[in-house]
Amino acid sequence: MTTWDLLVSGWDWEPSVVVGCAALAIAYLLLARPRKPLQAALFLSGAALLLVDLVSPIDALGDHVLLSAHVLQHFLLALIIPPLWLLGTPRELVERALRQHWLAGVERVLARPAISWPLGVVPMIVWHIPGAFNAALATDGLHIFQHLCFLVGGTIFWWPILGPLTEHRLGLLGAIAYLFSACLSCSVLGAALIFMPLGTYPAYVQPVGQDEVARLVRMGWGLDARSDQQIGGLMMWVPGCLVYLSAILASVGRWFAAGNRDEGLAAKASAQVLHRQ
Amino acid sequence: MRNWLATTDHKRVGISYMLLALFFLLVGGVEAMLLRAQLAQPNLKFLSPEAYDQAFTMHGTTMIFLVVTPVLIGFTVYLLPLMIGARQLAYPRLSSLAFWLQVAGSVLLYTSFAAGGAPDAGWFSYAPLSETPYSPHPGLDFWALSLLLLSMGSILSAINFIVTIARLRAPGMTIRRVPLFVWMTLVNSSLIVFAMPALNAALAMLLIDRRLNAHFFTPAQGGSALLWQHYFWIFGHPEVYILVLPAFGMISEIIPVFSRKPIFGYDFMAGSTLAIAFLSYGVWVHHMFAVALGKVVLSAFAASSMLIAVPTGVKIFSWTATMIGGSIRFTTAMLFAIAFLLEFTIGGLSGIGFAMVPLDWQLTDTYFVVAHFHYVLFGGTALALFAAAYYWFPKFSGRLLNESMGKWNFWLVVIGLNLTFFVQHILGLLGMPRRVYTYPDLPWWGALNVISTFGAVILGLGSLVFVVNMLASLVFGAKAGPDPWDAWTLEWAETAVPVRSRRPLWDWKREAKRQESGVRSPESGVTASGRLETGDSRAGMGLFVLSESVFFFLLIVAYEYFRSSGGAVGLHLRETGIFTACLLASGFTVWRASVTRGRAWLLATIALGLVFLLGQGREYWGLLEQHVTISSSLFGTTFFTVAGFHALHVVAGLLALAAVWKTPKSRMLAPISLYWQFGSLVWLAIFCVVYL
Repeated sequence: MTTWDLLVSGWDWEPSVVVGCAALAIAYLLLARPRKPLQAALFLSGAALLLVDLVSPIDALGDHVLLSAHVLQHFLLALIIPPLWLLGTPRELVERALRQHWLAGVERVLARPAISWPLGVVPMIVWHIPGAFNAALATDGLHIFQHLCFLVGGTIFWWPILGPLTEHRLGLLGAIAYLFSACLSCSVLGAALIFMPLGTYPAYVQPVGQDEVARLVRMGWGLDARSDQQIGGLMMWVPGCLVYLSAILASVGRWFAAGNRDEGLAAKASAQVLHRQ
Repeated sequence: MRNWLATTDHKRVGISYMLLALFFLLVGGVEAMLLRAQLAQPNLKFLSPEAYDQAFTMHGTTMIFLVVTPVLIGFTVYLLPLMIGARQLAYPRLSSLAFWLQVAGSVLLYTSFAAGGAPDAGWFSYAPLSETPYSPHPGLDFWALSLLLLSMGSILSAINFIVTIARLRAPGMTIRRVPLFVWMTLVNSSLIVFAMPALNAALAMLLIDRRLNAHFFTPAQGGSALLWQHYFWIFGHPEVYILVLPAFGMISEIIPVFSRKPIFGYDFMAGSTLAIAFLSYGVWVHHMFAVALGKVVLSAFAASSMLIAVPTGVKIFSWTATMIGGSIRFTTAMLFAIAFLLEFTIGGLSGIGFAMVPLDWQLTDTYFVVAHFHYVLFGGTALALFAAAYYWFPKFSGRLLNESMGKWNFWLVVIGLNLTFFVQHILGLLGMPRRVYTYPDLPWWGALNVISTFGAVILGLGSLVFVVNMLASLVFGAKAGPDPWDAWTLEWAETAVPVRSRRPLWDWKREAKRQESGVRSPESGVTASGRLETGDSRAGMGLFVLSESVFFFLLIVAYEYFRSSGGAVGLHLRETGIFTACLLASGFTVWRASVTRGRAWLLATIALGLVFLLGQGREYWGLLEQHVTISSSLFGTTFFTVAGFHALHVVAGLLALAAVWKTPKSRMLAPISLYWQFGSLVWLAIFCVVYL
């Protein structure tokens, strides 16, 4: 098998996933009726990415051969797809939904950082504990539940940062602390993965049942089990932290932009003095 | 005299810091001269190998911890309250304590000469060279102890700065309007709070190894020399930015004033500082590329190290863009600031080179590294400090530094700097190793080294001109007046000035000019009162606790790291579980005590704390009876270190509780309660890792 074969034939069009993603996209277009094309593009690319993440060779590799592919899958589920969804959700849709009292109540509770932070970070840590991780690999139902944890937990986690209701977002210092502490936990998890002894995730040391793919990965790509595990850890550490760091910088930028609008007059006045001097 | 020794006035503490740093600058400079004299020619015997090792170790340690750190803290202590319109630092006595810790640490470090030899394992004291079998004399104990004191002083100062900036800004001085120097101090102090405890953890472990025969870093007994490198550089890389961020802040104040233009891209300057701070925690492995960590790890850290060049580049462009189109006044301060831009960029570029793994393998431990970090620390920080000295000297003394001597100072230092260190790039490429007391007579090596030594002499002369200029100007210097540079920030204001923008003083002067014809003088502003609420002492304690949690986290990681080599033996899960419950309960009682301010809750807390300590004592006794000691095995080493440091914190907490026993209404109870609760949470973490 060649890399090309894997890219062509490694797709597993699981009907429930395809139908689910399509339903999500259609429901979005019908319910949200997005007026800004950028918003629609963000949300729909989130849905498309979810589809790719769950049916493409990433999934096949992650389930049987490569720990790093599996971590990549989780990374997309928790850190990339939810922000795309939230940025793509029009404010009006949420406002309409929150007219339901019980929904507003749920939102009030979940948007608290003390709730949303652990809901985003704890699944990430717990599901990578070897016992839980290996169990999810062995049982399909548990595996689906694991992915839902990342997806739902991730969406709740990003709500106070990128949520459509700007007045429910955290202030600057709060956002920095929120994101930085999440980044720290992610780094520690990544570092642990890098330095954990080989065999912590036995399924990836001796892949079973996927001989051709395994041969391609080991021989063709030259990825041994040790490098694979290290890439998995680094995936969480470096790109993971970069997502948080980008969010921090975006918050800082937004904060300064808001301040500069208020200060516009003062700045102009000062510029005039300098001209005269 | 007594007024100065016991002072808590931020101006006096600031000046004391700077004088202390100036003294050790001369000491560290003499050490550098000795090194360069020894290296002037191949195969010289001017210094013995032992003396050379001591000289380069002391030179590095002195310049980093006894010169640059205190002078930066000194400038900040002096200027920070003035810049934000506060009357004092948040904790004046704490700043005095931090200063005396600095003095004690400095004296302790130099006492090692009298106690059998100075430390000689380089400024990063790699294990196992720094362990007893290879360094039996007490120099390294002095080194570790003194660095512990110095880093505690730095942490306390940093906490002080953060609370001052957070709570004591004058009305109108919003956080969006603070001078960039203040903003960078804020970011830098957060770096110190989180990075210094990594050094403390490493030093504590090294001292326990050396004095109590433990095995953290001794591979022969199963320890890991690599762990020292990780911990040291987790501190060491952020330390580079700790030493350079305040310099960035100074440059960001000086260039606009002498270009007659506001800083270009304030937001980007502020944001990029944050980016540098966050990234600086994720790049430490590039100091360890020569260690076999696997190519995947190396590639990732190479990428993250290159990334950090982006926010730094943003700064260089911002400073340059500030000068473009401005009407630049070439005072000595401005000349130094411009030289800073050029020389720091050279150091930055060679730094990006080190992020490339193959290049790093070729150049690590050669003189190329020496050249690189001297361009960063001398070409960067030191030039910025010269600029700052010329700029703020009139503020400190009321007199201007002499400009023509300043020009001599400038040209000698800049020429000397480049002569000394530029050729070291070439020596490094030729393969000359650093930290070796002499070298063979290979083609060009002697010639290049002589140029370097000659440059060092010029550099030394330039620095001496600065000292002479300062002494002379104190007596004969021109009177400066309150605002000699027509500056824009509050420290130059004579009266309280209202803050409505980032340039309060320029606004004020414009207003004054406009109203010259009229009778009314411009409306004056308000300075912050400098009085603190209880909440603020909690804020300081909160930061301290954060710093401590990094310390404990690293000790627990060390326990976990060695878990596979000999696990726990002879621990009593059930009894300790009960004592743990006692300590957790005391976390609740102390909270009640701080709310109700009643003695009963206080007494309950003290009793529960004592019970916990008794339980710990029993556990230790049981282990000792089974001959499990701190030196018997890695389990003993890690367990007693982690549990012992926690017990020390409980004892400290008990003492603090006892101290407020007479005055339970004291506002000190709130921060003590926070500290106590932190202690019980730390134990919960230790209990989970060690016992479960």
